[in-house]
Amino acid sequence: MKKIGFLILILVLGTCLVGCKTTDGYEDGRTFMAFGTLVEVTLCFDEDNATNRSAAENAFAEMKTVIDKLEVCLSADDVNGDAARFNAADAGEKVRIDPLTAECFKTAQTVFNATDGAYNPAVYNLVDLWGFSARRWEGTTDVVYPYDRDDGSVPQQKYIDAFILLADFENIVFSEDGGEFYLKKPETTVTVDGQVYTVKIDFGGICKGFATDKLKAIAEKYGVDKGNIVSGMSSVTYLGNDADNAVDLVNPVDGSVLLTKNNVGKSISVSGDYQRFFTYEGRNYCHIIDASTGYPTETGARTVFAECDSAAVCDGVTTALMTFDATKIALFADGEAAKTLGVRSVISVFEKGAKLGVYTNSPEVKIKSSNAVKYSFTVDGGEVSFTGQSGYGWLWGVAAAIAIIAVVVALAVKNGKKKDDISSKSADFKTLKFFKPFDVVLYVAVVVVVAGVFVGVGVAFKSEEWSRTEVWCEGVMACYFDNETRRLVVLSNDWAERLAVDEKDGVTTLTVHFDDEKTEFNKILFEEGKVTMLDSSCRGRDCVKAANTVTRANQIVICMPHALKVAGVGNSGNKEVR
Amino acid sequence: MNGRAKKITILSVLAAASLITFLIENLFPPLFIPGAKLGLGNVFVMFALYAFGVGPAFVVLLVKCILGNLIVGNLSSMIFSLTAGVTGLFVMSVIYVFLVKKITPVSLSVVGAVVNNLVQNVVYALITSTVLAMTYLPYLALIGVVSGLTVGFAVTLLLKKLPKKVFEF
Repeated sequence: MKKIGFLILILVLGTCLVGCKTTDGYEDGRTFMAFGTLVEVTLCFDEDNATNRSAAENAFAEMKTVIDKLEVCLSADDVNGDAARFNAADAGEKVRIDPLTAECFKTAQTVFNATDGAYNPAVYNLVDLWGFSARRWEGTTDVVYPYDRDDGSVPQQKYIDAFILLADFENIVFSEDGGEFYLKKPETTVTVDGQVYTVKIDFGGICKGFATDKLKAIAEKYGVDKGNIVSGMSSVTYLGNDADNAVDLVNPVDGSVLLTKNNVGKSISVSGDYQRFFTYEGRNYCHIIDASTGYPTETGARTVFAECDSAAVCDGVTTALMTFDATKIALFADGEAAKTLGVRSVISVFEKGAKLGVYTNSPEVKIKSSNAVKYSFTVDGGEVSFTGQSGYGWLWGVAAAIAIIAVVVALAVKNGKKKDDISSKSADFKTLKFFKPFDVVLYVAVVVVVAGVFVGVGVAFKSEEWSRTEVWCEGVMACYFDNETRRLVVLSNDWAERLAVDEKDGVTTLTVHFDDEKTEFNKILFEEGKVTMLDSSCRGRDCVKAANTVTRANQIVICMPHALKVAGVGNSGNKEVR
Repeated sequence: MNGRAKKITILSVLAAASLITFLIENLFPPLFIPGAKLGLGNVFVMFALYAFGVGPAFVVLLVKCILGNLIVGNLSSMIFSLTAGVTGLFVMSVIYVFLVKKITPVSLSVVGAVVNNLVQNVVYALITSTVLAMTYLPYLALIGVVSGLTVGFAVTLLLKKLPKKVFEF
């Protein structure tokens, strides 16, 4: 595993950057802080009128209220919160909880059952033991436990063994009495080094999604037509009838887009081993604890991406699936439980040698990184089969080449049986003409092909509004120039040091350096309405002499020797640009 | 000189001429996309096709492509131009073997040029995963028609007008 961690972002292109894609309607956005994360809500109404404007205002106000309430209920830190009160209670004690907490608990219970306990909110003791709780990771309280370590080491095995027993979610009893809701703590306790520990819960694995679902319900109650809620960098939920979106999974270590998932309609979210982790003696330990082993998950899953009808389910399911291996994930994705939960598709990423294996059952996944390989899985009667799509590509190329060579040799042999002496043929040459009737057949074929190409390209690259210009270096999107803000946004950490930006008189000049001595470079000029390849150190300078400007979306300037591309991109954002 | 030696001699001249034309063309600015040229060196490839057949034509093409790109120093574009050239000549050869009596070098050349340009662009887009590069397909197809006509005319003229004495030595 990489030392600096393998970070994955969901970058919503085309919806976040340009809002709702509606030009006449009314759009408004608000950002809230919830559970330590930034939640951006964008509401879009088809019509811009007073009713809709006030509806948006009221929706935001109600959202604020609900978020404040949820933070109190579900956060394990707020001492007045239900979760904290439950955790502080004695074994066997009955704790009264808020209706919202009750609803969240029921959701957690559903996901717990559907994943056979892989998503387990009662794993809090272990999470706290390993140092990933808010208390330890963010230092939110001064409370100290005997098992705390400040040397970055791993916990003692006796604590791990003990706390596994405390992950006793099944024995938490939910009850309702006269409109009030209660959770009864299990009798289970463990004693380590003279201290008694009880079962503790943490809604962290589901609360953000639960909150998102609540916000979505509010938005839709107020009649929103389209919109989205982006929670942190790891979850996106679409509102109203906003469907058929493309979402890109980006690896921020090198800024490359790993894959694009098309046709996203409801909710997607990601869990990864990068979100919280520490390294000790050369090994990485991430924040997702496997309740059966008491250790951070070691299945090798780097990240799991789930698309579901509900954000809460997405949250819980991605956490649970991080503790499965590829086969188990496939079985789950295809199983009844997934259907009942409303899980539409699952994508998991594992390291496969030097590359990344992307396992999915969805055909709407397009791999974008040359470092990743897609494996589709199918389940037939409990048997999982993976079909890889790497390595076979070039085999076809080799087969085609061999076939062509074989045919050429055959033709050559057949053709060469005639007399070699060219002087005898020169008489035939005299009769060659410039046009013969049969020529028409060939010309017609050519016209058909050329016309087909025109139509094909016209259809495939529909004209759309030019929203930004992306600069791709060696397969990675290093940065992009946004036409609206007229700013250059640098995306890739790897390339950041190699870009020199000069902004003067409303015109931006970008120089991309490929080496330390600054001898290999490309210079790009960003003006109003035109992006030009000014200069390049590449051999031939083809990119500077021909096809060197971008004036609309779906246009590209390519510097082949440097593997650099400058592409005009439209709102749809889900076009392939590399 | 016997037939074989004559054949080798003439082929060498054709290959050299093709190579030189390629190098000279390389000095001119490209058309629309990096690497796209008029392809005038194909005159000699087609000459070899008509004079000696399919095999020798491929030899001339390979010399032009491989040596030409090596000399220019453009290894990365060699893949595209080689694949495109081979495919183009392959299509031409198939048509030639079956239909040579019925068609003229002009139309044959047009077919070969269009195929060449389209394949070059598509292969480039595939290998570099740049789907947007295919927006150049229409322009390249048209250029292919024009250069095909030019090369075709040149070859026909060459074959017709070259005096018999050139072939008797």
